[in-house]
This record gives sequence, C-alpha cells and structure tokens, in this order.
Amino acid sequence: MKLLTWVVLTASLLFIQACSYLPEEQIVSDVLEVYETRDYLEIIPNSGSFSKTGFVFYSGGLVDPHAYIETLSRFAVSGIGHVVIIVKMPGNMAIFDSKQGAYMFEDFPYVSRWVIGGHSLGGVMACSVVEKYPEYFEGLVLMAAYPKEKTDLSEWPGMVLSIKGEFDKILEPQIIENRAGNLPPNTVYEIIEGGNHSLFGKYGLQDGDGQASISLEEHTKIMVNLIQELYTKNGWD
Amino acid sequence: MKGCLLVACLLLFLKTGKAQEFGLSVLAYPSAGYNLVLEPGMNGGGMAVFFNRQKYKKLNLSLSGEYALTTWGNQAFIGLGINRTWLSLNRFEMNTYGHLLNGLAFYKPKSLYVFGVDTRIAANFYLFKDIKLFCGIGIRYTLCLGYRQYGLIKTSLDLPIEFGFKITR
Repeated sequence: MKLLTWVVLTASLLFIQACSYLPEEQIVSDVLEVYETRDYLEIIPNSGSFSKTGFVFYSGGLVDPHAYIETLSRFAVSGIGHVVIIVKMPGNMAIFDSKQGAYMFEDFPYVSRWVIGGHSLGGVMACSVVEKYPEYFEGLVLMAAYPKEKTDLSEWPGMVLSIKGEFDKILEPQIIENRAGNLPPNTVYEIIEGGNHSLFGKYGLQDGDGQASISLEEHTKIMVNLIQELYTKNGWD
Repeated sequence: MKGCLLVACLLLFLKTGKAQEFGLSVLAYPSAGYNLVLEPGMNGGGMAVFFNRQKYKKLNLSLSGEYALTTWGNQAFIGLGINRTWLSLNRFEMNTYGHLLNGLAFYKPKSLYVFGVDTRIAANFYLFKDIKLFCGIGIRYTLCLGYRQYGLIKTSLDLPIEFGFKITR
C-alpha cells in the first residue's frame, strides 16, 4: 500500500507540473497553407514559390506546437517565402524525441537544405540534434536557448543566430554568455529590446517571465527580420 | 453527472470481490492513425497502475490509472473495466481486458476532457507464487473534442504495447 501511495503522490506532482500552454488564436496570412500530421505542422506559401532552404522548428518545453503558427508564418511569407516545419513532440517536450527533426526530411522533396531552430528547451534540443547530425543542417536559430553543457558545436561550420528578449526572466542569467564557448565563434547574438521569453510564440505570458514592453507584432517583426537577414547573408534565399 | 457515475462505479468496485491484484506497467502507443486517416506512427508512451478485484471465478473488475505523453501533450486517464482470464496453465495465463477511459489532457489555462475505449490481450508468466510478469497488445481509441479548437487531430487509434508486473494477494 505504501508503494501505491508513493505512485499516486509522484503522479500527482507530475500532473501539477505537466500542463502545456494552449495556443491563443493564431492568425495566418491567406497566402499560406498550414498542413498538419501527427508528427508535424507544415507552413508553406501556396504560390509554390519559396526558398529551397527550409526551417525546421522545435517548440519550447510544455508549449503546444500550434502556439508558434502565427509567429513562424510571418517568417514563411518573408523574403521569397519559406517552408516552415514545426515538429510535434511527445508531451510537448523536445527532450523525449529530440532527433525527430532529422528523420522527416524525405517528406519534403522540394526542400534541399535545412536550418533548424528552437525556442527555449526546443532550442537546447535543436543544438543536440545538430551535434548528432551536423551535416544535415546549414544553420541554427536559437530563440531564448543555449546548448547543453556537454553539447559542443564550437567547430560546427554552420551559421548560428542566438536571439533573446530583453526582459526574459525564464532563462538563467548569463547562461547564454556562459555557453558561448559551445557555439561556433561566428555566432551572432541579438537581444530584442523590450521583448521577453514568451513572445516567440503566441500562448500568453509564461509563468515567471518578465513583462514585455513591446507587442507580439513588434517582437515577431524583429525576430523575422533577424532570421531573414541570416538567410539573405548566407545565400539561402 | 459524470462524477456521480464514477463514484458509483468505484464504490461497486471496492465493495465486491475476493482476490485482488495490483500492478504497474509501461506502455508504448504505436498508432494506426488519427481522425479518419490511416497512417502508422508513434503516439508516445506512458505508464499505468492498476487494481483488479475478482468478481466471479475468472472475471475481475478492473480499475486503472494511466499517465501518458502523447502528441496532444500530457494526459491522464482513469479506466474502469473488466478483465477475464480465459487460459490458465501451470505458470502461464492469458487474459483479455477492456476499459472505458475518462481523463484529462493537461493544459493551461484549462485542461481538456479526453475519452477513450481500450481492449487488450495479455500473456502472464508467474515469476513467483504471487508475482506475475505480463505483456499485452491491444487497440485503443481516444477522443479529445476540446482540442479541435487548437489543432486538427482530435482522435487517435492506437495499438498499445504493454509490459509490467502484477502482485496477487
């Protein structure tokens, strides 16, 4: 009976800690199509004209992947257009299936190169998948994220962009600076003035996060411009 | 109403029966499809704790609690059902069980109700007199109507695989 009590107590704690953030209403341009399967969400310009470099994305821990449709759809329509894949994870935790992003490329024969990105825990796991399959990706976009201590990408030849919000209170202070040695020396670091941790998606204010002084619209615009710049600079468009 | 039914079932369960069995298992959910689409894949995994109580000679009432990580997110079920042993040979038993599942997918700001039905067949091996190891396979249908506001996938047809142990008292 003691065992049963412990199981129930542990399960109760898991339940309390395991609520994912539901997305708020997502507004998507009518020049895009959004397809959904069990494994991913695909955002694709319906003109059929887009960059051959796709963007595969890992959601933040315990955030429903649909919460990123609106913000990432802005990137999908920027420049010449992009295919964006938001990977679904068991329990909305990229830690449980971090390699999934590297296994689905054959579903997208119209994409020849990939950049991977992730928000928060999703970014941490994106670093791990790049370490495991360095040849699969041309670039890495970290949104309020950093590599694990044991993940060493310092000699990876790809391009890395690391973005964080000014009022991010979720990230451990200085963690991005402390892990800079695990990323390539040419990594570009950007801070979104007035931004926070939660505005990379549209799911409301995450518990413990700082209050942003800019709107989601402004935050998304800056984020998209930074990723677009990375694409343009590297000739991926 | 749903709560009253659940409490009534639990009282019936606890007030009847003779031998009882307690167990733990881990589950994987290979999936046959979702909504009306047949598409093999994986729908995560989970763990379950269950309690069977003998009602008739080879028929048990069964109560289970399950926690799962699926592509919907994290969810928990309480399952009520029956468990029938139909083959019993020395140190080996086969049984079949079925559950009605009621649960929640855990979300903020509100969790979503999940309903399911599940049937499985399991092979049990007596490790000791009171302890059995078992493995089972089955079929499960789950439905989360509330999720349709957020995503396309609101039903899932899974083929669960289960490994665990049971302690008989």
